[in-house]
Amino acid sequence: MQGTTNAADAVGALAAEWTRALTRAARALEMATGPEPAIGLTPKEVVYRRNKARLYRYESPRTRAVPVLFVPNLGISRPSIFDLQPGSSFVEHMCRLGYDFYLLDWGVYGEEDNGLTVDECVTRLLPRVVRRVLETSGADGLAVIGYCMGAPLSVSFVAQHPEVPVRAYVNMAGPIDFAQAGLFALWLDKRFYDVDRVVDTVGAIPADWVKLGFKLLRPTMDVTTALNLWWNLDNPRYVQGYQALSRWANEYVPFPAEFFRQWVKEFYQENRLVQGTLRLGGQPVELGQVRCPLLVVGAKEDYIAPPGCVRALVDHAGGTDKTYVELPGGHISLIAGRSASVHCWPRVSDWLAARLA
Amino acid sequence: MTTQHPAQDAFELWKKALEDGTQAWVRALGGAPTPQPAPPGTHDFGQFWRPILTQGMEIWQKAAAQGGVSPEFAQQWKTFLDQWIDVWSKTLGQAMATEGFAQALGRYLDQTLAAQAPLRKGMEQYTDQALRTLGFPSRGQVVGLASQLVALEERMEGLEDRLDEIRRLLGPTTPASGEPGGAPERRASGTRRGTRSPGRPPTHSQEAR
Repeated sequence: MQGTTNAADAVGALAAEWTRALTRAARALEMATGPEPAIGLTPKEVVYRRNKARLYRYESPRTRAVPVLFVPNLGISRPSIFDLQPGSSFVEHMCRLGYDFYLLDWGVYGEEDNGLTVDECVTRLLPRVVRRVLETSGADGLAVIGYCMGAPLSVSFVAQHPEVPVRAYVNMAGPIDFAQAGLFALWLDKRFYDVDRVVDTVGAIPADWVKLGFKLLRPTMDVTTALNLWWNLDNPRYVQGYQALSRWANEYVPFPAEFFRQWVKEFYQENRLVQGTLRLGGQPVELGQVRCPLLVVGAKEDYIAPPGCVRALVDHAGGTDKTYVELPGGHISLIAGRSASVHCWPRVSDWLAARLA
Repeated sequence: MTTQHPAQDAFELWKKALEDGTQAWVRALGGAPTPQPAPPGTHDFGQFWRPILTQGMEIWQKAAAQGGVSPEFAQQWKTFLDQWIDVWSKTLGQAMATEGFAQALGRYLDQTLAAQAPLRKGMEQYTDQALRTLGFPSRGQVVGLASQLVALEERMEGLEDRLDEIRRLLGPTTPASGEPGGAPERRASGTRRGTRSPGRPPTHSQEAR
C-alpha cells in the first residue's frame, strides 16, 4: 500500500514538474520573440546639453526646496538602471517624495571625444551642470548624489568648490580609496597593466572590452542569472524585471581614450584622491574641503567598489556630520531592484529629508 | 568504491574529478599548489568543495531511495546547483585575486595588443585608401570634423560663460527668463541665460584666467 502511495506521489510530482517546464518554455519563447520592455519611463525634460551629455530634470510635485543632482558613472553602462521601470525606479521614488530630481547622463562617447579627460568633466562640465540645476530650480543650494564613478568625480568638484552651496552629499558605492578597490585594483596595477600602451593602441576602450572586464569579475554570474531565470520563468513579475534589467545590462558603453588613461593612472594606479595629490584643472583636490553633511552608502557584496574603498570618504571628508551605512546587496542591487527599494532608497531619501528640511 | 548504489559510485567519481580539476585550475592559474592537507599560509580550495559535495551526495542518496522525482528533490537540486556555482565563484575569485593571475592577464593583454596594433593600422590604411578611391571622406576625416564640432561647441559655451560673467559684473538686470519673481527658467543649452544664481560655481574660463 505504501509503495502504491509513493508511486502515485511520484507520478503527480512528475506531472507538476512537466507542467511547470511547459510554462517555462512558453514564457521563454514569449521573451525571445516579444518586444523589449520600455525602461526609463519617468517623465523628464532636458535642461542642459553639451556634446553627448544631457542633464535631465524629472517631473515631480517639487514640494522640497532643495534640488537633488544625481551624478552616475561615465562609460560602462547607461543611466537607465536608475529609472528602470515604474515601481522599481530610484528616480521615481525620489520624485514621488517631492524631490526636484536632476540626473546627469554623460552620454555615449565616440572617437571624436577621445580627448575628453576626467579633468574636463570635473572642471568644465560639472560646474555648468550645477549652475543649470541652480538656475532652473531657482534654489539657493542643492544636494548631490554620486553613484559609482560619479562619486569620485562629483566629490572632486565639491572639494574644489567650497563656495558652491552643496547642502548635502551622498556617496553611493563610489570608490574613493582605490588601494581597497578589490580585483580591479589588482588587475590594473601598474606592474601588470600598461594603460599607456592600451590607450595608444586601441584609443577609446571598446564596449566589448568593458563588458569583458566586468564579466571577468564574476565569471559565474551569467550562469546564476540563467539558472534563476529558468527557475522563475513561470513568475511573470520576475520575468518582467529580468527583461528590463537584461536590456540595461547588455548595453555597455565605451570609455573615451584620455578619460580612461587618466582614470586608471591617477585613481587606480596612483590612488591620488585619498593621498591628496590629485590635481584637476591645475588645482588640488582636497577631500578635507568636503564639509557638508555626508552620507556614504556601501554594499556588503560589492566587488566593483568594496565597502572599504567606499567608506574611505567618511575618513577623509572634513565635516562633522558624517554617516556610513553598509547595506545588503551588490554594486547594482544596492540601487536597483526590490532589495534596493527596501534597504537603500528609504535610507537615502530619509537622510536627505532630515538634512534639507 | 562500493557498488551498493550506482548513483553514489558515480558521485564519488565526479567528486574526485572535481577535486583533481580544481587542483589543475589552481596550478594553471599560477596560484599556490594545494597539497593535502594544505600547509598554513596556502589556499586550500578543497575546503569550498567538500561540504557541497557531501550535500550533493545526500541529495543523490535521497533521490535513489525515493525512487522518483518530488518537488522537494527539485528544490534541493536547485539549492545544490546554486551552491555548486557559488563554490566555483569563490574558487575562481580566489584564483583571480592572485598576482599570478593579474600577471597572466597583463601578458595576455600585451600579446593581444601586439597582434592587434599592426592589424588595426593595416585595416585603417586599407579602408582609408578604399574610401578615398570612391571619393568618400576617410574615417579620420569624419572623426576630425566631429572633433572640431565638439571643440566649437566648447568654445561657444566658453563665450557664453564670459558674457554671463560680464553681465554679472555690470550689476543686476531684468531677469533673463522674463518670469516674474525670478521663477525657474526652463531651457536647454544654446538659449539665453538667466541671472546668476547665488553660489554659482566658477566656469572653466574664469578658472583659466
